[in-house]
Amino acid sequence: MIEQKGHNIHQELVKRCIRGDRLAQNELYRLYYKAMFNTCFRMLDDRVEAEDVLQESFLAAFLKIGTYRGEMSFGAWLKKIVVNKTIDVLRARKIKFEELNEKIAVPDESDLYDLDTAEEDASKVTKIKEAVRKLPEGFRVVLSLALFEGYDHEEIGLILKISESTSRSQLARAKKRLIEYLKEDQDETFG
Amino acid sequence: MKPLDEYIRSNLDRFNSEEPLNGHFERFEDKLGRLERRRISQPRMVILRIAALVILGLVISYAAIREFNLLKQSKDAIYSGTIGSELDEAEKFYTTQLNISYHKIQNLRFNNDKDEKKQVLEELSEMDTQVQAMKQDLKQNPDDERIVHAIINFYQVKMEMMDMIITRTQQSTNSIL
Repeated sequence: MIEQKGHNIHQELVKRCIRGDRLAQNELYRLYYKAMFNTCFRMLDDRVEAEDVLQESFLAAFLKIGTYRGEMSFGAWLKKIVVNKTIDVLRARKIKFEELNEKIAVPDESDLYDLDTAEEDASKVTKIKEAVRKLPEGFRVVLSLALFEGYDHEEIGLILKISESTSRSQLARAKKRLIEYLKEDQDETFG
Repeated sequence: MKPLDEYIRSNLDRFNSEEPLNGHFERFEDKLGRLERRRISQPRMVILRIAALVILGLVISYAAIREFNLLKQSKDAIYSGTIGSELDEAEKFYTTQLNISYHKIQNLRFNNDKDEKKQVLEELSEMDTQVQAMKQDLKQNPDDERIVHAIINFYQVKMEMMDMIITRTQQSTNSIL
């Protein structure tokens, strides 16, 4: 996972949180809320629900912070809680992360889309974000976990309770769809 | 590495630019406050639950004694003599101590949680009705030492429980200040 770099840089704050220090809890929230909020928001696509999951995750983390052993960075530990709570909300929405029965591998064509254009980065980012939001929920979740949160297929399989091969094939499909949306947008822009 | 994957990973900060709605810091602060109050009040409620169980145990054993005595004791016994004076003496001592503790609890702020304070005081009053019932039975079985001891045990448990509530509440108030 991407977040596993930079071990325990907030160890002092964490220790204060274990003692129930409200200032330290607020400080940790201010440090991590944005990254965690974006994780929730990308998967849920609902700002109010994302805030709710974000804050409930922080409260859950503070309640069990005594069990944090520092084996991974605090951010990675917190992100696990955030992702699990987000998946709970998605499951409550009745979204199913189903196993795919078909054995046909979907080729990953994302290398066929050229991002090396003269377009401004800000504009590219906005377009990718919009395209991600247009994806069906199941695709969006797998793609978010893999590309934005840096989980591998084994981890995604465990989180979503699907096999690694399903995760792999869902990701390839999600990327394919994403690139279709981006190409449509490019065609509209450049005729 | 595929261009799309690489592009996202190298521009992650740009992708993480969404913000929650205004006022989220304040809403989080409120939730933290509620969590803190819940964390503090839990040990006090645990003490009350344990005390209630101990007292229930005393009441049950007392009830068993009483049923046994009804079979063998005469109804015209008089509430007097050494047993009565032992209880009078204990009662004087415990009533004074319990009143002091009760006033202390009444004056505690319970971190401004009025509902919790009301609940604690109500549970303490509820215990008094049980001791009154025991005393009533002692009048009918004045020579039974075991009833006297059950009443004294009851006072001791209540006393210890009130002391624990006072200590815990004062500790939690100090930790917040």
